[in-house]
Amino acid sequence: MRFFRVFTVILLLGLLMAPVFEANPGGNGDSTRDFACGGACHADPDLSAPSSAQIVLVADRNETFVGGPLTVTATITGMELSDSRLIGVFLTVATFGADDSPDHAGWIIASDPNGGTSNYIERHVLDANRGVEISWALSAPMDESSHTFHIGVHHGGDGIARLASTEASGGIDIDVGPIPENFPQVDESWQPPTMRGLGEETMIKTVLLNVTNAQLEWRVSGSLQTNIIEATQENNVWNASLPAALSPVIIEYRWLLSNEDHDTTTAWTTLSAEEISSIDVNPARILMIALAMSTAGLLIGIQRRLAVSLADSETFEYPPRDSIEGDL
Amino acid sequence: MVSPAVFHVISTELLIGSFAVSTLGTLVCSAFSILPGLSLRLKSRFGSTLDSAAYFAAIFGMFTIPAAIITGYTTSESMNSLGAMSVNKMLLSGLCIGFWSALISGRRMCGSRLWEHRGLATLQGGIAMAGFGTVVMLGSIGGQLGRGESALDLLPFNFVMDVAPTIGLEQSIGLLLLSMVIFVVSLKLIHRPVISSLPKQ
Repeated sequence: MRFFRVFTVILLLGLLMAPVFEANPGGNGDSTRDFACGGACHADPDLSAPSSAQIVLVADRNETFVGGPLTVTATITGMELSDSRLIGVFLTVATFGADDSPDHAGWIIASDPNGGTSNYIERHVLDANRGVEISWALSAPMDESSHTFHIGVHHGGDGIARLASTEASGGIDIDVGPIPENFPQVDESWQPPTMRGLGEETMIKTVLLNVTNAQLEWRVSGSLQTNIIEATQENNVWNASLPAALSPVIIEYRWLLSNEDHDTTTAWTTLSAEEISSIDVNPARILMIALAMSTAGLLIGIQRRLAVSLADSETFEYPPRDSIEGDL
Repeated sequence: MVSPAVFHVISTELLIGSFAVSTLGTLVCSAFSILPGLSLRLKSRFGSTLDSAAYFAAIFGMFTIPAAIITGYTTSESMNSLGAMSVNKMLLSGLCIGFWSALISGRRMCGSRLWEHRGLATLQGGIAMAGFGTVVMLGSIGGQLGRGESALDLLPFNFVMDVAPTIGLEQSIGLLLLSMVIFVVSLKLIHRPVISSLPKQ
């Protein structure tokens, strides 16, 4: 009896411990990471096998200004894939040592492809030939400087960890120059929305500086067709409303800004629409324990009632036994 | 590195294999008990061997349930898929634990004499089928989560897995209290018969 009590306690503790454990491989989760994170999350990079992934890295401009916008897009194809079909992609500003995430060089990631603000993101790839195309929207550092962006990729395949990067191709060079006189720009305190629920319009609202005309351009991610919405101004705040998403689709948007001297755009910002789950997991956990206890309790109660007759004389008449014929 | 999905596959394979053996053994023993003529055609030790195998496999399967739940949780977290299907898996896991612990408890209480009682044998067979049914549904939901398909897709009707019951925290706590009452009543208030290991002559 003590054994079963101990076992029951262990079982219940096991159920309660479940939320404590964190996921690790098969995905570490989007985050701000240096490529050397691979030592912690993908084994030592030196021990990873080469990947056959081809990486094409482009930016929407070769130069920007301090605090100015930049969109970096990487297209990754031809990689081997593990059973989980997961790849992790790093955007870095150095060739893969420590402290190589863009924030170390003063860059601010306004949006990543998954609707966050991480330089490391994870994606499931269904078809290696089609691969993935992912974009980051960034704000330039506040000092005039030159930077080289690189992409690093971690994934599995054929049972081993694999690694690819743009180190050999040299990455892309971006110059950060001074702000031109009377240049239209977004107030630096603006936090662009990167995530929304299904079926809700999204109001994009911000303070724009040196702007006489503003439009919001948007497109479905991966599509070339763009749509333009005229922004309206209220007390120096410009706003435009993006249409509601009826399915979990990712769109990208950017401001088109102009005044009498300049026309410019901001970086493409990714806006993910997801079905925001209304499921609270805690009641489900409690219900799981309740179901286990009530089911076991009811059935044990019935068994005890039935087994009373076994303890008495009302037993089933068993067929005659012998050493050859059947028996239980 | 080995992903949580691999450990989940290992633990679920152990779980399903154990419970499959236990279900098969229990059902055959139930059939022998309900239809005594069947056992007459078999060797004398066959029934007791199956009974012991079913009992042991059920106990071993119970030990694998926490491992399957924990690795399943870490896997669903790493796949960012803690949704309705994961919640359904949690609830079915509760049912699974309930069925199999009742099966083990009944067998332990009655010993091999359980099969002398037609009602108990029928109940034991029913519990085994229900328990294994929950295991099959758990596996099917896992297949849907991992591969987007499961063998239950072959069924002629649509087996809804992606809608979870919505319940509030207060209601779930109320149900937990109710289930605790049921559990305590069953264990403490309903007399546990003492059954000798030898059949009555």
